Amino acid sequence: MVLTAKHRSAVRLAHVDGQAVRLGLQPGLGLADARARVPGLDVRAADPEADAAFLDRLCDWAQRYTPLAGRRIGTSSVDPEFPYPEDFTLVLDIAGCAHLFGGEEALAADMARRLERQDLTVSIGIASTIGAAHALAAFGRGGRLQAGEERRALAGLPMAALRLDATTVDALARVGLKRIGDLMDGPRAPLTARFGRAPLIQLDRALGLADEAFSPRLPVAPYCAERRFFEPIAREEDVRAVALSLIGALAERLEAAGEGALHLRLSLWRVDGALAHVEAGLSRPSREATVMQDILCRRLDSLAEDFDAGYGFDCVTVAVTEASRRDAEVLSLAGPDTALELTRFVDRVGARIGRGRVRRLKFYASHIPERASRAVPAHVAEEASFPATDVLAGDPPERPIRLFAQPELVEAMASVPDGPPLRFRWRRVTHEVKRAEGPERIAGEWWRQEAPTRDYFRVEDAEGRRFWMFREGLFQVETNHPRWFVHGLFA
Amino acid sequence: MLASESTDRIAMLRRQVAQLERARGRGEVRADPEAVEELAGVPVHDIAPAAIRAAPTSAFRGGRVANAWAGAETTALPFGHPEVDAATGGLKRGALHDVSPAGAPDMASATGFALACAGLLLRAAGRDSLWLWVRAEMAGREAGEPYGPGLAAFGLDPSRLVAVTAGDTADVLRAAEEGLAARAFGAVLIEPFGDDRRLDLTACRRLSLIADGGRATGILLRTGGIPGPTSAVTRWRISAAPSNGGRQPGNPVFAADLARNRFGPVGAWMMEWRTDEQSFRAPRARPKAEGAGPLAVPLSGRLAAASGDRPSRPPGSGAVVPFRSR
Repeated sequence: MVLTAKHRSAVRLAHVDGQAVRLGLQPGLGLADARARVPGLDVRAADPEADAAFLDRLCDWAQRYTPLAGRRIGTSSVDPEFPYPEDFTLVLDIAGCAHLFGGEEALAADMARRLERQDLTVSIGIASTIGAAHALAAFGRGGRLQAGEERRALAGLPMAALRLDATTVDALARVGLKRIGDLMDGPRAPLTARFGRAPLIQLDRALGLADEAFSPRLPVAPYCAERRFFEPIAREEDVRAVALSLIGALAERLEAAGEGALHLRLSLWRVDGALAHVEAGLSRPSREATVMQDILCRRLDSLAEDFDAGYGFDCVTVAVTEASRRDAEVLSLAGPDTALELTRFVDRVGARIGRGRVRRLKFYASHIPERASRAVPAHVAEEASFPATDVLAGDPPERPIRLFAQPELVEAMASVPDGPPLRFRWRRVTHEVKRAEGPERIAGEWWRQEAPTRDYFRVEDAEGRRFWMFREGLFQVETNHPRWFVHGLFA
Repeated sequence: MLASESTDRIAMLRRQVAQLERARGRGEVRADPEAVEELAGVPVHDIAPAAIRAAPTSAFRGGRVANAWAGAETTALPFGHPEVDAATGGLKRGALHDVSPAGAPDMASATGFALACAGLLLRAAGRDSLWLWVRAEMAGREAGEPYGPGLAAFGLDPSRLVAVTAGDTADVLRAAEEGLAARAFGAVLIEPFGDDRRLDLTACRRLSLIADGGRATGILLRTGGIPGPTSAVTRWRISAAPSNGGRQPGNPVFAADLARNRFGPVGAWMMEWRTDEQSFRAPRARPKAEGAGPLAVPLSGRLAAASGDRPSRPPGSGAVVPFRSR
């Protein structure tokens, strides 16, 4: 079986399986050539997005071993002309974590066992540098290197194992430098002059002579509590109970550090390798276990429909992914604290139906009606008052209480050039206009794009329904057929 | 339908209940033994559920009302319209009220009436009081989103509004329950959309109970839906009515039909909302609109005063005569 990808209007092989390799196929070969060599070829299209998503999932899954798990380890030996096969490497920084699994080898064995159970072929290399581990896993036979063994182990590996691009590898090969060992003892200056700095930098990195930065895929949570199970748990109540006890543990640590949680993440590792995250945000730092439990449980409730425990979860973690300073507060005895009650409400409802759905109205200085008021999520909105309107005694409101997001087109009869509508048809009902006031002329903002001028009218129909309508465009100046819209409704 | 004698009996019981409630508000309870026996004798299915709930349990025990807050909880706010106030005793706080439009095109009027009620509540709760408007996504799309400057012109503070947009009725109810229980909001507008089976008597009763216990007032605004069963203390059916503006639209006028009232008679009134006074009143006799058809009446008030250095109306210069194009 082979997977193909289209490159420069030619379909080429992107990935080949073991059997195809034995038949002499390799990535980069044209599909037509491959078909000619192997008539009964099973061809499927490659899906790089799905691959990337899968790797991301796998990377998250690998967080059961260490919080520092990442992808993308810099340049890999891929041809920029045909970027296949992509980099399928995950990097885990297991320093300080291995002893929890009984040593580095035991960790690797556990990982290999679990991944093989998911029908994945893995090659694991453990070394004290990313370069050496990568070379070992991708080009060597995997296994573990003690610190100081890199030189000997890498010497025999092909040049591509240094994560160099394909042109550099080719150029080095042309002068007879095929193995990493060939580079090690050569004169450095001429090599740099001829092949650029990359080969030697990569070599130094692999040997631990130069530093290499690496960024984990998910930011490391400042607080994290975790529990593992010999027997997987599947019932929702159990998950909840575990989450609650973990939150209790976190709350104590937050208290000790004088911080409060702003964002929580509950991660559930399913036995078959799937990983589910439940995230919830708080609008002010909180370290009360009850509040955090409440928010997380509400979020869990709202996901209950697509909560699939499968064969159960064998590892549960709760992490505070965002925390900030929070000082002790004085309890008010005067009565309910409205601001506190509000943030609780925002968090609870936000956790249940989505944080973006709880909003505050914010004034925006614009004379374009629909831009003058906008709704911003309540957890990011700061209090800002609307400018006071000086309502004259006895004057009716000038602006509608409800505004349509999109003005609704109506068929209207009006006198030209700028009379109010006499009759209009909105939502299949004809309205006879009895009273009208206007026009209030609102021109578009010239510093944005050209928008036609609007003439707004407040109109009332025979039944007493009040509308806010406008004519788009000045008659015979901007348009010969002005259109009418209903933009809002008065009480 | 109930037979007429049982209707009479219920009316009598309601009066008794109202009496008891009033007594409770004053802190004294005179349990009328006759009324209690009368109530006990009626088969349960003959009594409206509201009547059962309204009778304070402590009254049956004949003791003093233990809850010192009872008086404050049940305060009602005057509408400002004498007849409506006489019939309802004002807008009851700590309860659920039901407002629905008489027809689909009246949704803006129903919204206006609900907002006016919220305005009464917020004025009583203090200027800084927060208010909540939970609405179904569909309601916003059909009837329009709350518009800040318009709300400000209507007399409500848009910067104190917390607006929740929920995907469906279940979420609307959930957010509304949280809101009523939160003790942060002076008024809670609940606007589900359409005729949903989830908005049944049970859901309604839950809202009523939370409103009752948490001292929050809920206004159930049923935009674009057939009014379903309700446990609210009052149910209003609102339709639009021509305003008193002369030739331009004036202050909003509602034709309010009180279809259910737990504390008194029902009725129908015309109610005008005065945005500047934040109060209802009976509309004055309408001046006839001169001439036929809506001829352009130029802008009134503030909008016409475009210049920044002059007041919107010259002080003491008498009436401003609008310039007519014809």
